[in-house]
Amino acid sequence: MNPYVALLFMVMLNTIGQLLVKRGAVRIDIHLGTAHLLRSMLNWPLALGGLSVIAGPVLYMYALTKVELSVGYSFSGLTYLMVVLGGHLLLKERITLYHVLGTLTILGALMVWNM
Amino acid sequence: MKATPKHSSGYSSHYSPRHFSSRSYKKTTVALLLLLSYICLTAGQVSAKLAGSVMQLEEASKTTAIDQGTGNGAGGGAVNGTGGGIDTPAETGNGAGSRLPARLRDALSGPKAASLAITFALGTYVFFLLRGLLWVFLLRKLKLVLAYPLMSIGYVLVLGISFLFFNETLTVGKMVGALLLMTGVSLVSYGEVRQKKAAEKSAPPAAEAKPPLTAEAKPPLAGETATPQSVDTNTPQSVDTTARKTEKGES
Repeated sequence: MNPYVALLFMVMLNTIGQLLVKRGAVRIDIHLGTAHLLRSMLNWPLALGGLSVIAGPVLYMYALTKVELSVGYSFSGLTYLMVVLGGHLLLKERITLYHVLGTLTILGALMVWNM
Repeated sequence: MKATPKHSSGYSSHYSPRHFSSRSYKKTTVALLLLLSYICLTAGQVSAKLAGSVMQLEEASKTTAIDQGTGNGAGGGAVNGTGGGIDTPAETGNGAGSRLPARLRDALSGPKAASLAITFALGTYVFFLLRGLLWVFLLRKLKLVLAYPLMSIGYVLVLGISFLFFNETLTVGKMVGALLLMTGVSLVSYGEVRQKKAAEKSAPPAAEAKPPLTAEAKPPLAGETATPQSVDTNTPQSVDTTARKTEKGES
């Protein structure tokens, strides 16, 4: 597999995972006792999100065997942008231009980081 | 203050005291969760670093021991040679381990090295799991578009710790990157604050529906406790309504 495809796939997996975890997290109900809390934590978005977040690093490590760390690092910065955009488009969280600018800055920061 | 008994008397049935407290409760919870997440994040990284260092040091000490053994076996003439043999693996083969401060290196390389390595490796996993758990509970309270960028501060924290305690090199690129990263996080938080303020401003229709309730509830309260109380209870309410709105919009 092309390492860049793997990296893009990792970004997608992480983004979708975070969105799913968010969806699952709001379902958790802490007000009705421990048993209910545990039951509410076992919901499919949370489980699926957790799985994809865990699967992300596997792809990352695979890609790092083929490309330099600085490239891989920058790609993980792309996740911040994708999470913010995905949060806006799919979770309907309201964002401002500053959110996009901020995450772009973070992406730039991680590119500079390993230079 | 006389305000507290009045609050607990259950005088105003639905509104002000309970909401006020739940609002501040939410804020402290979020702050606490964030702080714990950062601590877990850095502790996990530190733990991983320590586990790696223990293994590296052990490996290095083995090679030096072998070197010493062969050097001794070779006999008396090559004293200088053995000296070099001890030194070089410690410098080159050891990599990051040799850069550790001497005190830390002594603490990590000892008879207990094996158990230390296991402890730190387990610690890494424990902190990792704990962080996942905290993250889920943090997301219950915080928007994803704010929480996720906030977590990137962890890069800077780990950079600072590795510079301060592990003697790692701090390159210009990393420093500039850290500065840029903080700028990015500030931009996102600034956007969030602006949005909240704008929502407060445009909220009046929703906020107007509630003031009558508080206006009824307040006069007897305001009889003794003066204005600061009313101001205190008023502002969180308007914030709360907007927050609820956004939460509804999210889910």
